[in-house]
Amino acid sequence: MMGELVVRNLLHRPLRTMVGVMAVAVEVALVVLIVGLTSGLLTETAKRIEGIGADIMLQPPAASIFLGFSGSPMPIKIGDKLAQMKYVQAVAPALLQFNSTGGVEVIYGVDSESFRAVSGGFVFLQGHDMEGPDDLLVDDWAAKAKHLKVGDTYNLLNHDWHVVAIIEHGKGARLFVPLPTLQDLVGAHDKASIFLLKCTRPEHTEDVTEEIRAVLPGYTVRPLKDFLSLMTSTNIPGLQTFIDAMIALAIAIGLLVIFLTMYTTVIERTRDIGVLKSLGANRSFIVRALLTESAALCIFGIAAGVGLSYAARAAFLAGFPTLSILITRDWILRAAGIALGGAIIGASYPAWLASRKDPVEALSYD
Amino acid sequence: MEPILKTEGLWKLYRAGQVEVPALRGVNFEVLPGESVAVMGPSGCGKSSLLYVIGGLAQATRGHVLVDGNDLTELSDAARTKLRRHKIGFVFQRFNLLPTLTAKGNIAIAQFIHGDGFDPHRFDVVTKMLGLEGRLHHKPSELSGGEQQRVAIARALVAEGIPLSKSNQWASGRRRSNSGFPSDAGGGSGPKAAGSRENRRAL
Repeated sequence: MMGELVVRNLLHRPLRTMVGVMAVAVEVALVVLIVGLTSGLLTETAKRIEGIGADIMLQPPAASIFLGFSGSPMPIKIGDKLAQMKYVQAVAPALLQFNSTGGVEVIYGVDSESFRAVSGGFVFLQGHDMEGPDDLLVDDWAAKAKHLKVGDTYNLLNHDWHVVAIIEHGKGARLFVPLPTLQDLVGAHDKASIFLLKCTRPEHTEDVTEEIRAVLPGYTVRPLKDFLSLMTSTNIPGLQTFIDAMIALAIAIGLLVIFLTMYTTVIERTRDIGVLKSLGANRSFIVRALLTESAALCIFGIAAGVGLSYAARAAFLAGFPTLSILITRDWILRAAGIALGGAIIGASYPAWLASRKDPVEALSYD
Repeated sequence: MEPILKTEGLWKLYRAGQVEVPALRGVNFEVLPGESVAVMGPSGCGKSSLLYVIGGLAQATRGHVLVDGNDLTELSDAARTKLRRHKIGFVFQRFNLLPTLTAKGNIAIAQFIHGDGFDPHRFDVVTKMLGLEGRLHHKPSELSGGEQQRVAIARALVAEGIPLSKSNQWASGRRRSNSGFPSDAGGGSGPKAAGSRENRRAL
């Protein structure tokens, strides 16, 4: 009977119900998408860096795990020192340049030969390796997003580049240019942002790491097999705060709309509440009826929110193919829990208000 | 025979700012089991207030109301709610059916609130007695005034208790068919008991 009462009440005002459902849906979708976007970005970036195939990455002291945020580059001569170390098979310097024109991306300036030695080389889907100073390698995702093909000219960092190859994604960056050209462009002559090292055997990674720490104290040395686990929002300054703020905003939206929906429901049904009380319904019954209604509305909203999340992801990926949005069951459940909690809290005051209504006044309400 | 309903020196005062407005002034009356009572009087004489107080919806300012031996004036709000649930049924002047529920839902919810769940036998007896069998799946807005009234009566009868009618039609004495409620005539200035019929316990 309670179920019938709740369902019929929800159906009685379809527009209001729809607004409530959509508010919860937006709340759920915001949480799922914001977390999915950040974790997708981090995971995808980490996978690309792991995908280079190096064993160790050396960065300047106190460098960020998010490579585009790295500070001042290191002298390229450090590479010689690293190459002389026992168990080091190859060293590849790379200059990383953050670019926000025409999309947010990190460009890798690399020396083809050393990069090949460390990574095993690119997989060329079209074209050939860099030969000239203005050659540009583009991975397949970026090529799709930017509509680039071999032979095109692409302006980047206020410089015209010749697209000489489309490579398979997953080797660190989406765009690769010759190291000397990028050094000239950004005024970082003989500098590198990172050094990628390949050990003679993977099990020597720990030994090489220790040796680097001894020779270059203070520098950041990261074994790349652990990189994925390090790429979390808590390791990016301010990111977790941003996520928390966005989640709080989503909760506030859902909570306020539910509050307003249930408050107007209570006002509208004042007389009905009086009738229920005249029939002997106690406060607990009134509270349960309203909280159940709010919870039901929320459940529909959660279902709509999950659908909205997947639809939004599909739309985002269609428009921005290089984006990665990771929708996980864990965060769907968390978002559902957050929404349900918000709906219960949002409906609590109106439910309490309804339960406290004087039945005589309620019955006289017009 | 012990009265099923009794009032002793019943007062109900409403406060409007600094002014106290008396709605009931020392009302004394009693109703015996099996009696049906119509309260008659002009508008504003306190009929509704009396029914609210003896129905346990409003608290008396002074005096006592005894329903089946329970003094409502001594009971907490929760206890009065419980007593209302088990002993009292209301039929409102404007019927006050829940607009979102069908006729069946409006009647069944009384049983649900009563706490014994849906009792199909009792439900069938009541709805058949009131001639509602064919109208149960209609919402109040799809029912005529008379049908709505019968649904309201069915809602009051379907859970066990003492029937209390709150209808100006009954209070002013119009004759009803089908319902088994009293017919009476005449005016009267204050609440009073009148007539005698079987109550819902006979169901």
